[in-house]
Amino acid sequence: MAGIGATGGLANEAFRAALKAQQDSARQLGLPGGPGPDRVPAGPGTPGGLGSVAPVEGTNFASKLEEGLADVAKSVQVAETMPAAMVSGDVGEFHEVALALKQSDLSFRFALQVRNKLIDAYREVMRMSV
Amino acid sequence: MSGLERLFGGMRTTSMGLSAERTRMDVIAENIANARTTKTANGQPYRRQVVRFEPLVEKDKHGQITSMGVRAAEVLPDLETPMERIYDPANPDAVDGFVTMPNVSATREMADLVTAMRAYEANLKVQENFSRMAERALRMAR
Amino acid sequence: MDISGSKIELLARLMNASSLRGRVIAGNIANQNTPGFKRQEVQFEDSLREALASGNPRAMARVTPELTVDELSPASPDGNNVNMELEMNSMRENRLTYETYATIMETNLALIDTAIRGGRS
Repeated sequence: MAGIGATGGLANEAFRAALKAQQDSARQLGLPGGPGPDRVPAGPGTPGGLGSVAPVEGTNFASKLEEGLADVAKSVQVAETMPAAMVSGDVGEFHEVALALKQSDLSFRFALQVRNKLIDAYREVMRMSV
Repeated sequence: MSGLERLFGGMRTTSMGLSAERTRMDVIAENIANARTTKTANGQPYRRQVVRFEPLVEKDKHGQITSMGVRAAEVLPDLETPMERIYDPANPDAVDGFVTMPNVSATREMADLVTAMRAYEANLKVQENFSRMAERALRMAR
Repeated sequence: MDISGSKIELLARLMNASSLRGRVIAGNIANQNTPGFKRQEVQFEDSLREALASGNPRAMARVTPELTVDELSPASPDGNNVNMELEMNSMRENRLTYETYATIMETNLALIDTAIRGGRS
């Protein structure tokens, strides 16, 4: 059950909010934390004053998470698209229905758990900035 | 075509089986009822009827087989079994004392009836089977 | 992030084959009185076992359920070779197998469930 692209979903939105919060606070501290290359200005004027830090290239935790999010969103949508799939003859087995629904449920709860962990991590980071 | 043919293909097969055997039983009942009919609407003695079964495979829009059933294709007169001629001058339809009787044998019809009933029962069991399997599968979603 | 594992995928394939077998058995039983009808069966588990023994993981992925016609079993005078005792037995066996797969599947899904809850339930 691979995803083809993230669309709005509850877990999806929660993810984005948590990610954005993490990225914003990371930038405030002058830490690399967002997807893609980050360039932190060197010198004592920088809040947090960490000096120059090398740019972070593409593959980091946040962008990996974004990819995984796409799969999860597609999986979660299954319960909504199931009736239409059934009527149009795309579902051929009862165990197929059951597994799709179960997968949908597991994916959603997994996403929520990860989101919660992200928010906890964000809070930790916020505490550190004081 | 509702799109649910694939999902319920097995049930559909058993339904067809039940239907076909039902037709067979109706024809047998007709034979038994007319075992002594020496003159029907067309003036002739009653001739035994038989049902011709043939397999019926159904496919969905993608060309995938959804059910592998059967159908009672047609009801035909039994032209092979000879009619019986008996001597019964008292019979109003007698010609020169002889009457042509239907080619229906009670014992044969009973044997056919048993065959049809067994098939009917078996199809019912299969239908129950599919029901249980589906319920079990759906339980996985809990 | 594919939550399912290869075990679950294998079980799903086994359940697909079992479901197809159920339909084919139903077809045989529906045609028990059809003159000239030859019974059919589904080949899958044997092919899968061979692929497994070969050690090639891609061989396993390629195995699909196959519908075969049994021309060899003895037929009655009208050509029909459906043996009702055999078919009814196959039907019962097949259902038990299907339900066993469902139970194994549920156990595997429960493991994932526990992992998501972080070991708590």
